[in-house]
Amino acid sequence: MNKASINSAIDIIPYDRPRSIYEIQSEAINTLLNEAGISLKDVDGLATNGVERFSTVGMSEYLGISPRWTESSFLGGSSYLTFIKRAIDAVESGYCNIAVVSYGSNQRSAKSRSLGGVLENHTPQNFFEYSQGVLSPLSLYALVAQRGFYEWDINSQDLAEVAVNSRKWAQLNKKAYHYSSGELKVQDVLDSGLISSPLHKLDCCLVTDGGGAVLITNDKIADKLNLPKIKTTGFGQRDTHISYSQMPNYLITGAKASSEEALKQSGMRLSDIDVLQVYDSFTITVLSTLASIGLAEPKKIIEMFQEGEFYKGGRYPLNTSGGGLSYCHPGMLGLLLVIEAVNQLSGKLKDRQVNGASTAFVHGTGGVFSTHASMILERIS
Amino acid sequence: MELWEDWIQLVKKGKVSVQQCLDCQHKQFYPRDFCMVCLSNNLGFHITDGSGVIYSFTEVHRSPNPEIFTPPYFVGLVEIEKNIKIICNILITNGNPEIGKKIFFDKISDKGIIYYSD
Repeated sequence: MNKASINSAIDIIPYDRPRSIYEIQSEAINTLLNEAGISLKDVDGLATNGVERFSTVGMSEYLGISPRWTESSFLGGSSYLTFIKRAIDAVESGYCNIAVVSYGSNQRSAKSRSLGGVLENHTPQNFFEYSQGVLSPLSLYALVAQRGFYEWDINSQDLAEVAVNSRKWAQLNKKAYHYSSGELKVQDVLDSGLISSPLHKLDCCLVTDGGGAVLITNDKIADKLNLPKIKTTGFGQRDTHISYSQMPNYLITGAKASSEEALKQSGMRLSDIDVLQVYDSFTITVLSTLASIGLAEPKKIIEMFQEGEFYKGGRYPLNTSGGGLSYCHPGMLGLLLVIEAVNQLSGKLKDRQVNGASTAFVHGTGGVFSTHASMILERIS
Repeated sequence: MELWEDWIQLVKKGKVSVQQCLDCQHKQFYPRDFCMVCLSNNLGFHITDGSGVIYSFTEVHRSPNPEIFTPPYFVGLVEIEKNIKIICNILITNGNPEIGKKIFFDKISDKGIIYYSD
């Protein structure tokens, strides 16, 4: 069997002019391949979604390629962690040799995002839940936060610490939407206005354009081109529900099982991890995920935020790009979490580089805490 | 789906129900064409006593659809039978909803919004 690895990763966050989804992806892919010394025509695997109904076909046509392997499942925010794992498996099995996982969204400039959510009339979630006036997914994350306050003895001030930490990281990332926005204080979050209590505007992720691409090849090609090799040594996936009434546990999510599986495969514990990239659609998403993966009790996690344990120099540098809360959130953040982890492990990040980072834990959350994918990445060379 | 329409028609008659398997008595929500425990297709509706317990709630400040929903209003996740929760609106006479508080089915609006109140 071949051995496969992630070799490079790039994010494209356009601020100068609006671009189409095709342009964002082609810019990311072409930049990535140029730097690696690989020709576009040699790409024989592609994973993407959200482009159009025939996402991989349409994107391949735009690029002028005809891949032997494609993947396009829709799992929301965890999709791209799953795609990375599937691409690694495809290269290792010989279905393809050079795979690209790419994503792009122009939801901000195209004004395609609605607070009400994406309605599909035939679904149970539409019939029983959206019919009741929820902002989807916002209100459904808010319901977890409110229950969490009740069970965990925490409050809005505590939750705001997650957003404060993300802003600090964003100030070290020139591509971040909030790079020049200045410091964020807990009170700023509380003053930003309730949207669906207890979540305020600044408890919610950004709505931006953006995207990126990740290159996955077999190790023979990587060695020949002298590319770095980042290994996925563990992966776990759990999809628990899509209708909110069917969520099996509102406080401990599918992240528990997916992370346990990923850590077990890699033979690691959380204490072996150097850097964390955890989906932050909302502040509560981060707290719930960190609690579900067993990092600590929620109240203790809040203390760790207050003590700087998730910032530069802390024990668990978290969402070092600034995350969905302060860097970018182009509809789905999953691929950008992986890209940040890969670049941390490649030692490329200058101001926000975590010194000596060689292991990363990445977690994607999609839907309404519905889909979960956990991934352990390790730098080999 | 016809089963879901049947459920709503019962609510319009003042009856909040969950689906019940007539073979193994398992209760489930939302209605499906089979029992999730014994796979039987022999199912009916069990009418609840109309009460519920607030598991969580949120006050919505932006409207997902201004033609139907006028903020602010409370949306709740309400347990209507053991381990069965629904999303509905909550009306509280004084102050805010409280987690753990018992509330009761009140009405369903012309636009299909289900209200529980104290």
